[in-house]
Amino acid sequence: MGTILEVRGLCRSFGSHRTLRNLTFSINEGEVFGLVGPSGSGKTVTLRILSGSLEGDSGTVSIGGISLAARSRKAHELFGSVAENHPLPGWLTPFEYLRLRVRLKDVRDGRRELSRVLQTYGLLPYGKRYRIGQLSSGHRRLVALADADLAMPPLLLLDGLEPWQVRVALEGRPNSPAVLLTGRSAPELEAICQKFIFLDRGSATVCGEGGRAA
Amino acid sequence: MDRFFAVLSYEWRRVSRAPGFLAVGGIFLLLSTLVFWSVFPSYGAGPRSVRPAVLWLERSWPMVLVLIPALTADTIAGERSAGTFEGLFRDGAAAVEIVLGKFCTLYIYSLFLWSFALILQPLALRAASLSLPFPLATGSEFLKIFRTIALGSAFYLSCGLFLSTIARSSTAAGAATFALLTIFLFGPRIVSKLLSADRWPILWDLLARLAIGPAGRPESVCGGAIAGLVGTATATALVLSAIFLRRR
Repeated sequence: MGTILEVRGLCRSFGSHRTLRNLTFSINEGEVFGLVGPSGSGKTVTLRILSGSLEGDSGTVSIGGISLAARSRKAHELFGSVAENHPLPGWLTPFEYLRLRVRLKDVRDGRRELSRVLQTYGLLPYGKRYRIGQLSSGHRRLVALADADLAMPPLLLLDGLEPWQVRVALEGRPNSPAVLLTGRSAPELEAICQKFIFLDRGSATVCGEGGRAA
Repeated sequence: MDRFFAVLSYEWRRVSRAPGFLAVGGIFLLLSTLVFWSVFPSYGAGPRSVRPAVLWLERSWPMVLVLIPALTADTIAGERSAGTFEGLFRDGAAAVEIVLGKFCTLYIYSLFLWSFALILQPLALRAASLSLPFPLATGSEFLKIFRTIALGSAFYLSCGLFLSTIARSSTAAGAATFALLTIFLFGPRIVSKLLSADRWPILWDLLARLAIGPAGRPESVCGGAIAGLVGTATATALVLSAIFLRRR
């Protein structure tokens, strides 16, 4: 199995506060990886940097061998992400939103892919009937996850999703994607994650596998 | 090209479904009708040198001070602060496609509002069993009215869109657009009054022509040079919007 995500010496500060200190880890293809730590440990900042919405002060991030710093479209095609508080346009229906994302992402065989994600994430009953703003927060997360899963990218970066939601994503795919999932404690993620990295004030402290990590 | 149309359809849904946009459109149509009814009685004694439709546009035009900020402020700054902008466009359309898609939607909506407001007036007259013994405007005057609306809306919307791109919040974008349009609308008029037309004829003429709307009649923008100037300024504002959008 090749490495899909490689993070080396990632640092990020906000003013005098050092949020990430020399963070280094890598994820192999098809691996489900847990990023565990208490509130304020730097999980969301890490995922924001990995998804390209924030820049690190130093360090390198490469996805599928392509540096994220190059801002190439190819690197962005290799992952899908769901932010902790993923804002969605509430005036669109899930169907309209996902169809728009299919067009913007220029997904090949868009219609089939659209019906696949609607079916996989159980959005067919709500797809055209309700607007996103009328859905429960759980269903809104599923819409965001369906968006991230469009075109079946080999890596999913998921911030604060429930393990059952991740399982839906994994079961709906013919090829297992690599997943980086955040959580506050290892026990809540151990049923689904194969590896863990523990973040404590921006530093990676312990790394373990499966249940042994706790 | 498909991404441009995707942005266009997204923006059209946003405009047509947001209660704020519909309220702005409704209030605009109501006020423009009231303006017309305030113009109408002065024509009771017979035709005047200025046709009713021209006078209506002249008196209605300052409504752009509210209409344009209301349409543009939320377009980029508002969506950005709500977070939907980043979620939608982070790995999709290019900055040019986003700016053009949003601009075209707002432009079509704006033209629709002005055209509907103009069509509404003879219909309102007919509904009230009233009629003018002469047309609202001649054919060439209608053409000039539409030219003023088309050019003025494009320029002001592009300015509003640019300010929405660089502002941190929709409130700041709206306030900045209002301030800029006030300068555009009333600045040349004030300056031209301060200057003597005899001593500075070229500058005076240019300022009077730039004051689209309240300073004079629609013919003030019908000249090819002014149309070119406004068109170039519109294109520049849109290009700057795309550049700033890409940088942020």
